[in-house]
This record gives sequence, structure tokens and C-alpha cells, in this order.
Amino acid sequence: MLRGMMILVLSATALAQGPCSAPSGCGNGTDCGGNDCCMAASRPASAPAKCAQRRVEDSDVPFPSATPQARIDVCNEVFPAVVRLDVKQESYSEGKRRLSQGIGSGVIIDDQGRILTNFHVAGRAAEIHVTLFNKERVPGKLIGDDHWTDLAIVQMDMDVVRKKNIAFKHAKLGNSSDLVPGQDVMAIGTPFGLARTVTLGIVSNTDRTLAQDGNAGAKIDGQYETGEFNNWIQIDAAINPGNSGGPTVDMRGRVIGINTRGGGQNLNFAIPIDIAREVIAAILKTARPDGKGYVERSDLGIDFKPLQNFEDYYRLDINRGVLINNVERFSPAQKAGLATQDILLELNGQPTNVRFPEELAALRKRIADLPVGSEVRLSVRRDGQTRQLTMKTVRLQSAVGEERELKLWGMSVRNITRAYANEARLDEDHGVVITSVNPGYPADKADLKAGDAILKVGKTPVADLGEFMAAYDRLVKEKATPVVIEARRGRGPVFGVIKVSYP
Amino acid sequence: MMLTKYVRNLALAAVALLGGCAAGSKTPAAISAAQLYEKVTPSLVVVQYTYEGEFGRRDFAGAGVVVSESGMVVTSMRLFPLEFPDSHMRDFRIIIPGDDEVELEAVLVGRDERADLAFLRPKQARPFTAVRFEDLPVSVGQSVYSVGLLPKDSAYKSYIVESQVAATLRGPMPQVMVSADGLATVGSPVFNAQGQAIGLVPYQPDQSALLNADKYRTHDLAKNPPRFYVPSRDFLGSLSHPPTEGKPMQIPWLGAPLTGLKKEVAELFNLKGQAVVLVGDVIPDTPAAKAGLKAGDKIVKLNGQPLQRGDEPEETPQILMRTLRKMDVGARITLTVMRDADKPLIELPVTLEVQPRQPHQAKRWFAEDLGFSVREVVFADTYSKKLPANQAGVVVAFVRQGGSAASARLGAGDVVTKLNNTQVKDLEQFKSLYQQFRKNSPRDAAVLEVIRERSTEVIRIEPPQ
Repeated sequence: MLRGMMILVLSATALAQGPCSAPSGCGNGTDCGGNDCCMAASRPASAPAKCAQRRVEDSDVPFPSATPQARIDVCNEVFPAVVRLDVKQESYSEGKRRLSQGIGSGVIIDDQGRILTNFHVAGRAAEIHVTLFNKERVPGKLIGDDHWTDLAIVQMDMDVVRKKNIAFKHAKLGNSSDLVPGQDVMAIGTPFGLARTVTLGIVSNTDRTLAQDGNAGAKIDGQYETGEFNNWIQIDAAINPGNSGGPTVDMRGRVIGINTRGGGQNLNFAIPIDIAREVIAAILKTARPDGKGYVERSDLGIDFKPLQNFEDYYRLDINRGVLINNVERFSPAQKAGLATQDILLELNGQPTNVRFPEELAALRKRIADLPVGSEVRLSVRRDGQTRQLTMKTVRLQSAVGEERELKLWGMSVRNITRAYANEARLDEDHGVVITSVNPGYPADKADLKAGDAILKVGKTPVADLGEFMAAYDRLVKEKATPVVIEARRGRGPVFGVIKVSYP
Repeated sequence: MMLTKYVRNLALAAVALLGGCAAGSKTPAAISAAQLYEKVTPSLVVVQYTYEGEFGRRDFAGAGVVVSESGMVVTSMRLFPLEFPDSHMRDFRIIIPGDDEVELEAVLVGRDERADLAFLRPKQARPFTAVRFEDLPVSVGQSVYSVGLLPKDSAYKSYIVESQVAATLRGPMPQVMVSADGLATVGSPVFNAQGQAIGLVPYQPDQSALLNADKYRTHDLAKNPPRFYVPSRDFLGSLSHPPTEGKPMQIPWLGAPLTGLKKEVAELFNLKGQAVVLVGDVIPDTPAAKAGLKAGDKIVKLNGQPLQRGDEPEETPQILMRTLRKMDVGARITLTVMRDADKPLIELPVTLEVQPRQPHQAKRWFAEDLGFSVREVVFADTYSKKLPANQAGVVVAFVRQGGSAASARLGAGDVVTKLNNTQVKDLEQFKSLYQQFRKNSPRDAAVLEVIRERSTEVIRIEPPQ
């Protein structure tokens, strides 16, 4: 048995030691550039046609395959840049700010100790510990996050790194636009909190949408919108819980995606690194010592639907335009007169053709990438006539507003954003909404419930979280009791009498 | 009013207890279970009909009680749910069980959702023995009997159960809880020890209103009998004013959703110890709006009398609504409300009007090939979706599982505003538009524009190939 295994390993090594087996082998010589190399080592049967089209400037094999040696080389190359993240994430439930412990993966992306990971791993983090390849533990700090793309950036505490003289490596980022289906990839991470783990697979699809009918897939934690501006790389390498945030790499050891969703049945999804690169840039640009970095996006308030099967109905040329499925209340598009069933033909003079759901993210991203407040020209077809509409973008908002806990009253509240007001069909797009109440605490005893939109605290009307918190702080300072909360539940008013026994 | 009646009866009972023989003429002698069983069995019938509509076709049978000598039968509305429009039910039968079973053709007279009762009568007149329901008080611990019919697997044989009153509850619908022996099947009458009919067994969780259900047989009933009944006072009004054949029920409404007010909040408005109901919203052009009621008003009195309190704060508004719904359309009432805590109470005279049409009363039409049905837009649709009161269109009432409309993700509740780019006005126009379209283009997809929760959607429905 042992003997057989050794032979296997040996023969594999022998194979791998051929002239163009691994990136390292290929990279250093000109003797194996071009198609022959590719044919010999990587894709004997199907790849030649593809390979022939590609430039191999740096003499690399275009799609190095996962030979046993290559796998080991990639592991050796990337493992030192992969970290385990122990995160205490902030969430509000039962009226309290809670820290829930989670474990995820991340990848160090530069020599300044920045780590790329998922929003669902490190977003909203209050406390992060980074465990490096060499088992050193370093505190980390969330410097920015973006739930729309499910990405977050964590900064290792470099003072600690220097003081302890800790060595680390960072991974090199590749290009996800160069990926082709069938290409070998590996997913690396620290699933279940184990040391580095690697799984092997191929790119199943380079541009996969999880959306149905134009609605993006499930929200993160059931509330954070995600996936509207990007598609995913579908791979069949397993992504297990805890593997999230780790890198998906090609066989050259370049990061081409961030492991994000494991779907079972060999359906796993990674955020393309090209998307991540933009998010990283935006976050680093906006991050301040006292504030998290973010991605600013433009919004017009339009929900699109692919025109597939509708061409005959709207008497359109095949693959021309996109259907306007919904126009949000109070949005720039609504104010400019855009209507459901309009066909959007062009945006700022460029065609907007969407026949398949996969194409929606790119169109939404085109709008999102415009500077906030910029003027947009839409060419719209309605009743056989083409008309021009002009509008200005506004800043994209999440339905999830800023949240706070009211310890003594036993409830948590959140700022009402325009997006939330739209989602909850509120008549006003300002104020605060109760997100949870703590059983047995004053808010619960007062029968206040999650979803109640607060209008008044005592006799003071409150327009936003700032005003509300100011009123709360003042009442607590005055040790006021009872306090009447006037709120709206559905269409009607509700009153809650908060009785507190102050310490 | 109900309360005063209740108190009077209590007083009578007290007199009976104290007076002994003197009250004997008022209180009949106790009756044995065997006697009661013999006496009641002829009044128990099976009510049966055929449902044929969007859900398919099926026969339903349940227990009924004869309440008049001419054969008027009442049964639980659970057997005739409001989701079934009248037009989907036919072949009504009243079956007198027994070895020489008699099957009579019958007519559905109507449904009174206030009492949760459906009324049927035989087509051909025929003498019946009726059960006469009376409003009589019960006290905790006293014995009650109920006589009912066993499910079909026992040939609808009649049976009797004895149990004790465990508690009387004030819910939105008053209920009496009995001991573990329970009561007879849903729809059975309940009697006191003197054999007087004092209530009916309503539908309740874990029970079935069907006597011909596959999953609810004699065994299940014996293992887990119903344990709640509704006292007669809750439905006597419905028995004395049953629905009129062929006419929709005339149920009055106020036009303002009401909510409860907790004790602490009531105290804050200096309404300590009073049952209070908060006006949530006042719908324009309703009796409430015409009377000048305002959202946020606190109702403290009905016709000068304090409100009846429920066991929980949220039951108080339910009880008030139920009281109002049992009144006549056109009834004049006075609501006493507090608007501002530091100002005097306001008396508002209100004239109750008939409530707007309910979804089940709306006309509907089944686009069978695509597997969905639509109905007229009613008040409940425009109110809940915050649409204009005169919203044009039709509402999707039903989407058949696995049908074309379901594949295209049409949803029940969607308001259809356009069919193939033509504005939909109402049901008749939608129906003719659709039929015309099908005639002209039998294989084309229908494109609907619908208003959903927060969005407008364009939906393309391919006909089955």
C-alpha cells in the first residue's frame, strides 16, 4: 500500500517535472511559450483552439492545469497569504446590540496588511482577530465594507506586526475577465476554523447570476441587499462554511475571486476579483481613521426586466432595449416621467440591451458607477414613439439604516431611509423604526413592536435617529418616567407607555 | 345590551336557586342522557354539496341542526368557507341519516359570517323536529351534553357526550370551555342538564367540520373531541334574522379600524379603569368620517354605556366591532370619545351603513387555459394596497398550481391594470378582452401589467402547448 502510493507520487512528480508543468516551470524560460506547451501539459484535447487565440506575453501557460505539482506550488504560494478571521459581528436583536462570534477566511492583498474578505464575514465587525499562516495572532480593524458586493476590508494592526516582528505574505490579484469555463481553479480558506484547506475544481461559469426575473438573490442576514451590481464566478470546488472570504485562485496562484457562497451540489460562487478591485479602491479612498470606507453609487430608482420573449409584443428588433419593470416611488426616474412598460433603448447614448437576467447586473452597474448627481439621458420607447428623458442620479441607499440600542428601554431602533420607506410602504421617508424589543423590558411591556415607526417621544416629534437619540439621552438623564411613545403601526397610531426604574 | 340580558338571566338563575319550587315552573326538570339523545337525534342532519371551481371538484359533508319546523338547517361556515363563491357550490343535500337514509334536495339560503353560520333549507317542505336555542347562563362545574353525528365511516350515527363547564371566556367571540370529555363534532348543539339548547360547537383547531374527510374519522373524534362551544346568545340574533335567499348579507360597518389601548395608556389619558378603544384610521366617506370621528380618538362609550371589556386589551375593540356588526344597517348609535385628555368628552352620533362588498362577494371569472381567475376590485384591495378608491382593473383571485400563470409568477392579490397593453377597466371588459384575444390569437402569450406589493410588474403568460 505504502509502496504503491509512493510510486504514484513519484510518477506524478516525474510528470510534473516536464518542461511546462507548473507556472514556475513555465515562467522562467522561453523554450515553452505558445501552443505546444499548452497542448502538451494542460489541455491535450479541447484547449488548443482557445489557447491559440491568446497572447502569452510573459511566456506563461495561458491556463495552467492542476497537475499534482501545480496544486502544491499554488498552495505553497497562496497559503501564507490566507488568514483565519475570528470576528465579533454587531447585530441588534431583542432590543440589544449583540456581538455574535463567527469564523471566516480572508486573503492578504498588500504589504500594508490589508485583508480582503466577505461582508458577511467581517462587515459590521466590532472586533476582529487575524490568525496568520504562521499561527501568529494579530488584532484587525474593519476599514470598510460593501454589502452590495458582499465584500469587506480588514486592516491588520501593523504596530503589533512590527513589534512582534511578524512576517506575512500577500497574494497577487489576477483578472477575472480572463477566466474561461473549464479552467482549473482552487478555493482556499479556513473552513470550520481548521488550518488552511484547499479544494479543487473548474470554472463552471464565468458570469453567473443568482437572480430570478431580475430580482437579486437572498439578502445577507435577511436584510442587506446584495448581488445587484455583480455576477458570480461559478466553480465546482467546494466552498464550505468558514471558507467564505478566502480566495479562489487560478493555477498560477493568482486570486481571481473571493469565495462567497456554497450552494451544495457542486454549485459554488465567488465574487469576481475585477469587481473586488473596484470596491477595494473605493473603500481605501473613502476610509478615514474615524469612519469606515464605502462605495458610493448612483441610483435612478428603476427596476429592469430582460426583454426576452417580449420583442414581438413590443414590436422591437431582437435584442434591443430593456423593459422597465418598476419605477420606485419618489425616485428620479419617477419624477422624470419614466413608467412601467417603457422600453429603455439607450442610456447616455449607449445601447441598453438586455435579453437575459445575466445581463442585468452590468446595466445596473453602469448606472451605479455614474457620479452621484450626474445628469442622465434616457432614450425610451413608449407606444411606438421614442422619447428622451433627462434626470439626475441620487445616492444609492440601503433599506438598512443606522441602528442603535436603547439599553434602559429594551429596544433597538433604526433610521428610516427612503429605500426602507419604499419597502415598508410608509407614507413618510424619515423618522426611526423599531427593529427589536427585549422581552420583559419597558418597551416590550409597553407593547411596542418591531416595525413600529416612531412619530413622537413624549411631546417631541422625531425626524431621524439623531433627534431620537438626543431625546432618549435627555429623558434618561432626567430619569423621566413614564414616557409616552407615539408610533404608527400599519395605518393607525399606537401608544406605548415606557415605565423605567432607573438605577 | 347583551350584557344587561346576561345579567338578567343570571338574576333569574339566582332566583331559581333561592326560590326552589317557586321558580320550578321556569326551569324544566332534569332530563336523562338517554332521553335527550332520543329527543335530539331527529333534528340532526347531514348537509352535503358539491364544490366545483378553480380548486377542482369535491363533495363536502358536515353536521347540521334543524332550527325550524319547516326544515331550516344551520351548520358551521367552516363547511361553506367564504373563499368559495356561491357560484362554485351546487347540488345541496340535506340527509337524514339512518338505515333508511333520506336524501332531500336543498337550497343554500345564505351565510352569516357574524354568527359563523350557514343556512340551508329543503326544496320540498316537510315537517321537522327543530331544536330551539335559548340564551341561558351556565356556571362553572355544571354538566352539559352535546349530541352530534359521527363521521361517514360510522354511517353518520348520532351520539351523545357529557362534560362539565370548565370556564366561560370573553373573547371577540364568547366561548365556553368544557372538561376533557369534550363535546360532539363541529356543528353539534349543546344542552344543559334540563335538555335546553344552550349553544353550538364551532369549528376549532385540530377539528374538522367535514364528516366525510379521509383524515378525520370516528377514531380521531373519540381520541380528541372539541372542547369549546359558543353560547346561544352569540348567534340567536342570526337565527331570528337569517340571511335572505339570493341577497347578500347586509352587515353594517363603522369605517374605522379599531385597536385596543392598554391600561397604562388609558390611565395617561385619565381613563383609568375604563375599557377604551383607539380609532386607528378613519376611512373617507364612511359613517365614521361623516360623524367626524378622527384617527387617535379614544372611544369610551357606546350609546352612553361603558364598553364591554375583553379578557385582553385587544379583545375590547373586537367585541365593539362585533357588537356593531350585529346591529342593523341604518342603526343610529352614539359614540363617546376623548380627543384631548384635557378637554371634555365628545358625543358623536353615527349612522351605520352597509359594509363595502367583500372579496367573496365580487364577481369572478376563470381564465381556465392559463390557470388563473380574476375578480372585481373591492374596497379591501384598494385599502390594503393604498390604491385610489376608484382603482380600475381586476384582482387575481386564484392561481392554479402548476398552471401557466403560476409558471409566469402571477400571484393571488395582484391587481391587473393592463392586458396586452390595453387598460383594464373592470371584470366584464377584462373577460371580453381576453376572450376576443384568445379567439383571434389562440396560441399567443398574454401580457399582463400588475400592481403588486411595492411594484408594478409586467408578466408574460404563455398558453399551454
